[in-house]
Parts: sequence; structure tokens; C-alpha cells
Amino acid sequence: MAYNTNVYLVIFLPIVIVIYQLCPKRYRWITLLISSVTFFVLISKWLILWALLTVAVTYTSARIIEYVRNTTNKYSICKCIMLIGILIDVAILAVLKYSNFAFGIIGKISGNDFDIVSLAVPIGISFYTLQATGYVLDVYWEKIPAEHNIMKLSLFLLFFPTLMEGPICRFPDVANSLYEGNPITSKSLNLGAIRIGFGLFKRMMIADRFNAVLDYFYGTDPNYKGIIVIACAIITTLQLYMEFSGTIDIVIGSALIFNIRLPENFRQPFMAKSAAEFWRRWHITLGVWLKTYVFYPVTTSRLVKTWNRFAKKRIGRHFTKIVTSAIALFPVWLINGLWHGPKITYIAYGMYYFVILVLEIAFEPVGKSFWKKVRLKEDGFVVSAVRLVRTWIIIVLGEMLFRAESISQFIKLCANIFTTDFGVDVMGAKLVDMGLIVQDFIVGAISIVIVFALDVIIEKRPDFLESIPSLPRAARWAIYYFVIIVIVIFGAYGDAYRSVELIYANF
Amino acid sequence: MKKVLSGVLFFVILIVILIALGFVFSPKYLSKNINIDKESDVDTRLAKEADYTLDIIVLGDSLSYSSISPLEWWRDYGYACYNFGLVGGKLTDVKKAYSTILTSQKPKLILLETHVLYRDDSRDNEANNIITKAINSIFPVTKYHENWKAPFMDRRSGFFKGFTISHTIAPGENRDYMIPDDEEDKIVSYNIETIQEINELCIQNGGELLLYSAPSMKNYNFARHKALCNLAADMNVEYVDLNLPGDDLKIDFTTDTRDGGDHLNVYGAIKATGYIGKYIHDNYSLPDKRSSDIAAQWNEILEEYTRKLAE
Repeated sequence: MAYNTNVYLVIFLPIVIVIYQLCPKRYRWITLLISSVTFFVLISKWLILWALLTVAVTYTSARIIEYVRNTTNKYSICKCIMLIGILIDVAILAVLKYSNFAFGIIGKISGNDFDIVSLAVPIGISFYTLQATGYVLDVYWEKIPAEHNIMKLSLFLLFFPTLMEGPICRFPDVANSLYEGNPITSKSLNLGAIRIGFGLFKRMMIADRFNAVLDYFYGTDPNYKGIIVIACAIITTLQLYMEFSGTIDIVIGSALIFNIRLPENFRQPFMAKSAAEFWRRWHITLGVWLKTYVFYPVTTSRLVKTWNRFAKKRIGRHFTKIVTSAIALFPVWLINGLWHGPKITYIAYGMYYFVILVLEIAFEPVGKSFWKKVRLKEDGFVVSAVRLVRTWIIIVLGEMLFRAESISQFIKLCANIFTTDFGVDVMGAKLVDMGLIVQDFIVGAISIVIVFALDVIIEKRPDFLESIPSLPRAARWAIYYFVIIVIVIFGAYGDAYRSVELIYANF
Repeated sequence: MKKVLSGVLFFVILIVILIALGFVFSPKYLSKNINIDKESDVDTRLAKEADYTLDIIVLGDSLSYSSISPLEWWRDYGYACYNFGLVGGKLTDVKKAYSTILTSQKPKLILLETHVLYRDDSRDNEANNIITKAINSIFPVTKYHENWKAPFMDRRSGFFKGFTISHTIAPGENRDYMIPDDEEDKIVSYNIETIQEINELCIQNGGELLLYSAPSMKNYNFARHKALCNLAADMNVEYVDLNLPGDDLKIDFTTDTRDGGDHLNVYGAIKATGYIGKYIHDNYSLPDKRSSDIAAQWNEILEEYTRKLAE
């Protein structure tokens, strides 16, 4: 039951809305919990037991940490319990999701073929495990008190809109609104519907339209060359953005209906002028999680502090910064890659950004002095444009690696960019086969322009979408009708199209 | 109260607009006003065929509509066949399409390309299909919306009874293709249930199911061949695998594929169609309609098809 399906939008969500509203305020969070469990069971059936095990471990470890600290003040015991809790949560994830991958690699190295049983993986395990470990660490660091009601903690970890694609929430950011049971109002309905509509527009007008092209492009041998590879790499990036951010819009919209405000996961990522900035705008909640629970602990660790003191005197401030950043960024990007799934291309994707971010830090002074020499202002149009295009190239190559079936396919595609036999005829014939005509691409392109125009407006006015319900009725309804009718007529759904699966739901 | 009334009014206007759009986009209205010839929607394709004239239908995904050219059979045997292959179709989509076809046709032979059995499908999809069907019946625009493309479609684009002509040659290579081994690539239970339901539907409507696997280096191997043989035996239906090397069918993946061994081009499709056509002719008793009422219209399309083949 993906968020963009009729089952969710026409049946599940409206039923939950009605039941939630009819319930007395203090029981409304229970409605959400029952709905979340139902949602989970409908998708993953008995695998919910794994999720409940994670809930139990997380709840118990947080409660014990709090109890030990309040009664004995023995921080070493607290640390031990924190580590055990996190290890069990991560072990569940590792066994279910990564054991096949690990045994496969061991088998290849040792030359033995292991007879591996393929384990079923519960939906959203990567998302709720990150939330669970973050929660235990926050309790251990005394940032938040432990939640005493296991049902409430279950709701935080398994809240149905966030289950499949995030955003990865931190307990203090959402707990209150989750449990308050605020009534659904016409304003919350309007705001939620607008976000859902915007998400559906991104998915159905763009992501789903180009799905067949990319399925075919990556599904066959990489025979395409030149301009076709470049075009498909750009479409890959756009599709991933439209699919993921579109789904997040539906998720945030669903929560907004219940007056629950989830953290934003995207902030106009294609306006970034560096890879580092891109990751502050793309999958923001994963970035925040990694920064909070991996990057900071590493940079503030005794080992890194000692290194800083030692190195600054010997190799200078800049080189010390480079090495320190590399030490802290390596685990961040290794986890980032691994988190996406047990696949070599994902690990390579993590390492790709690790190298680029370290290079960005290393060459920062060189870049600054270069712009100074050519007498161009760093915040001027030319430098901004160069940085923007450079970042787009980095992003597009990264997403092609992310989507590629294998490293060798990615390398071959990259090499094919520089060949002259473009293979346009083959691709053209294929597009006709897939029912995609020139007008499909025109509709897709116009939709992309609309989304990016809105992104530019939202960059300047972050509350733009929320201001729509305050518009005069005629203008408001005109916008609503326009979006609905455009999606109904020009949306890529029905027999002729295959909707793109929730890409991040598999992570 | 004012807000409630305003909300009701909003939805009433929306419903009126959607119903009106459904009328504008319906194949009946469009076929009167615009020449729609290349369709991917089953209803739109059906609307162009006279009721109860088709004796053979082909179902499946892209491997079906790239491998069987119905007009070859019309020319050689006088069989009235239509290829209803769906872009990226799953088995539940195929079942839905067959149910739709049964509303105006009663085919005697249902040729089903087996690759759909290896497409991932689930109950969730079926639930979604039920809701989609309900929405489509209330607001037909959601069913026919793709007809916005109709004015841009070229009648000479080469869509012949569901078959698209592709002269493109892109050779493929797969050293493991159809090498015998002991493995069996099992079909998921849900797809087995669905194919059995399709078979029952065929029997109930006086049709016979014939499974076939189109030649495809990318999608077939010996493990799948074994699983499909076993399935056909269990269901007591005929199965023809065009991936097995035979004396009568010589698919050459250096010339007969348009995309590296995934799908056949027109040269491969003519070979595959010819082989299955002979098999049907030898094993089934189907009417030759070359002197029936539909002959004039079919011959006209055949002429255009023959011209297109020669281009």
C-alpha cells in the first residue's frame, strides 16, 4: 500500500481521518497507533513482530538508562546499556537486511558458495531503526526523558505516514504533536491536501512518466552512448527527486491533516552550490541524523581531539582540517551508503560523496584564490553559476551510480558518454514502443519547470504553500481545480504507464 | 455551516467537471471527431473492433506485442487476431484486460505470453485494481485520460492490430541463454493463482488458453522453461517455448532483436508469428474469415501493413 496508490489515498487515509476525528481527544493517538499497526500488517504481515522487538528493546534500554542514572548515577552502566540496546536494534537490521549480502561477499572471497536462506524484511526497517537508535542516544545524552508509555513509543517509531520513506524523525521534534490529539480542522485539511496534491503532481506528472524509459535504460545492457546517456542520467536525477520529494510531500501532507508537523526532507536541492550544501538540502533528516549521531561524536572524540592538537603544530591548520574531516566523514558516508541497502553501488555512492566532500574541503582555499586572481566576486553571478553547474554534474553522476545495476554498468555508461555513436535510433524506437511520444516529454518538461518555479518561490517564501488556503476563494479554487484536472488528464497512470515503486521504501 | 456548504459546492463542481471530461475523452466521442489509431488502453483498442469478431487474442506484456503480428495470420490463415499486450503489464493487469475484452469479444484461443508470470505482483495490486475500476466507472476520464494524445498520433505510425513494426537491429549476447541445468525458477504462488483464474475464465467463456514464451535472451533461461513446463502440465494447458532451438524456428539474435536480445524486432516477430501460426493451424480449428464481413476492413489494414513492412 504505497502512499500514491488508490488504496491509501481513497480508502485507508479517509477512514483514519474519520475515525480519528470521531474519537475523543485523549484517545486519538491510539487511533493513529492502531492505524499504523494496521498499515504495517497490511504490507509486511507477521514481520511486524520484528518491529515490535525493536520497540521493546528501545523502550527497555531507554527506561533502564533513565532508572540507573536516577538511582545510581553510574554512567558506565548507562553507557553499557545504551550500547547493548543499539547493538540489538542494529543487529536485527543487519541480520534481516545485510546477512545475504555479507555471506555473498564472504563466499566470493573464500570461494565457497553458502546456501543462504533469503530473509523477508519488514517495511521501513532502516527508517525506524535509525529513529530507535537516535532515541536511545538522546535519552543517554539526557537530551530527552525516556518515554514511559511503550504504546506511545511504538507510535513514534511506526507512525504510518513515515514508515515507508521517512522523514527520519527525532523524538522531541514530533512527540508532542503525535500524542496531543488535536482535531482536524478545515485549515489542516486544506494544508494537508495541498501538500498531497503537490506530491502527486511531482510523482504522476514527472516521476511515473519517465519510469519506463529508465527501467529500460538500466534494465538492458548499457549499449547507449553519448547524448542518450547524458539525457537518461539527468532524467534519473529528476525522477529520483520527484519520486522521493513527491512521496515526502504526500507523507507530510498526510500528517498535516492530523495537525502533526513532520520535519522537511528537501529544501530545493538543485539550488546548492556545492556537494556539501546539496546534502544539507537533500534527504535532510538522514543528513541531520548522521551529523548528530555519527559526525559529532567522532569529531568530539578523544582520539580526534588529540590528533587535532598534535597535527596543527606539525602539518598546519588546513591539512589538519582535511584529515580531521576525512576521519569524521568516512564513517558518515560509509553508513550512508550501507543504509541505502546491501548493494555495492550504494556503498560506492557513499564513498563517491566522501571523496567529493573531502576534495571540496581540500581545494576550498585554491578556489578562493583563483576567483580572487581572475577578479570575480565569490557571491557574484558567474561564480555562482559555475558552482551551480559543477554541483549539478556531481549530483547527476552520483544519481547515475546510485541507480546503476552494477559498478561495471556505471563505468561503461560513463565511458559511453564520450563516444559518438549515440544509439538514438534504438532509444527512439524503444520510446515509441513504450507509448511515449514527443508530447509526453513536453508535458514532463513543462511539469518540471512548474516544480522548479515553485521551488524558487518556496526558497524565497518557505511558507508559500501554506499561504494558499488564505487566498480569496476564487483564486484558491482555481488552483485546486487546475492541479486536479491537470493530474487527471495528463498524469502518467493507467494501463499505459507503470508507476515507479517507492524507491526509498526498499531502503 | 458556511464552510461545509462551501466544501460541498467545491466537490459538486469538481464532479461535474470530471464527468464532462469523461464524455469528451471517451473513445466513442473521440473516434467520431479525431482519428485515433495508436492506443495503449484496452477499451480504446476494443472500440475499433467490430463486436464478437476476434477469434484469437494475445495477452501479456511488451514481449507479447513485440513477438506476434496478427496481420501475418490474417494473410496466411484468415485468423482474426488482436494483440492486447500491455506496456509493462502484470498478471493482474492481464486478467483485468481479458475481463474487459470479454465484454465485446468471445475469443476461442487466448495466447498468453509467459513473462508476466515472472513480474512481481501482489494482493495489494488487486485491491488497488478494484478501487481503480470503481473510480473509472464513476469518472471515465480516469480511464480514457490518455486519449489527450490522440490528436498527435500519426495513423501511419505503424500500429497494426496491436503490433508495432520496428526495423531496428541491436544485436544481443548472453552466453548462458537456455543452457540446460537442474534449477527451476519458481513462479510466485500469487501469480499461479491468477493464471489459474484466467484459465477458468477462458473455459467459462468457451476459450482455450495457450501459453507461449517469446524468444528473449534477457528474460528466459532453462530454469524458467522448466518451471513453465511444469505449470502448463499442472494446469493441463498447452505450452510453446520459442526459446528452445528448433528446426523450424531460427531466431538469430544478431539480426532479430531491436534492443540487445530483450525484444524481437519485426524480422524476429515474423519468424515467431509464423512458427506459432503453423502450430495453431495444425492443432486448433479456427475459422478463416477472409471472405466474411470484416474482410474488407482487415484487408485494407493488411495492405497498409505490407507497405510499411517494405519501407
